[in-house]
Amino acid sequence: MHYNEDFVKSGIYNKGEIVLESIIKSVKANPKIKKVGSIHAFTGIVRDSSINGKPVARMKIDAYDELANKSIFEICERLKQEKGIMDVKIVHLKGEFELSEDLVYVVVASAHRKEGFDVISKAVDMYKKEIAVWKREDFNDGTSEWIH
Amino acid sequence: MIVEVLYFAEFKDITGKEKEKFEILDNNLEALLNILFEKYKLRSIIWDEKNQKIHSLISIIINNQAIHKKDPLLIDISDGDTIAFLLPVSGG
Repeated sequence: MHYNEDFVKSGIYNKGEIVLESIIKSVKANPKIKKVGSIHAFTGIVRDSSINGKPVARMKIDAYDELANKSIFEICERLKQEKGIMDVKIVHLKGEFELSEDLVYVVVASAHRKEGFDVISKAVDMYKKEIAVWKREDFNDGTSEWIH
Repeated sequence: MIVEVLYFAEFKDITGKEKEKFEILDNNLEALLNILFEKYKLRSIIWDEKNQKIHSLISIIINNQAIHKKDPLLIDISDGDTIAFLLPVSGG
């Protein structure tokens, strides 16, 4: 996806193409910013163990860009209809990632903090279930597994 | 007719490709599956042997639209179609 530093569009980007600060900057450029009292940011990063405790060395993320971009757009538009929500951005990165590297950003701007916390949690649940993105954990023992 | 298959996740690892074009003679998905299963070890992932249809966990996408049928004989395909078989998603 093309990156415009004045307006960051939600969607799938290559690793290294975008940073969290630019998404927050874009949210702050929203004409509704004067009605915003809090900006919430979530960053998903690579953990050193799988959900079963197996040591992870690195991770790969693959995406079906056309479908994932459409789903991300729909999630953001749905959540922007919620009370007090002024803006929602979801950016998922793809490529090969080392431990602790950023995988995904969610930024929510809300009139009051409570609705912002609620919606950022919903946004994370939704992107994990709905967007055409897959992660492969490469383990320390040389094996790897796509997670479903 | 010529159709293009897009590969994601396991499918990309197994085939070693992001996408591939195939020439098929019949205008249904079974003709394509037969070629795919002969060329790559994809049958155990895609095909539900017990029920003789595409596995319920697999999403079939044609031209970026989800297809809800699972019997490949009932899924029509046309020249120039882009087709993908997707496993359940797992965002980061």
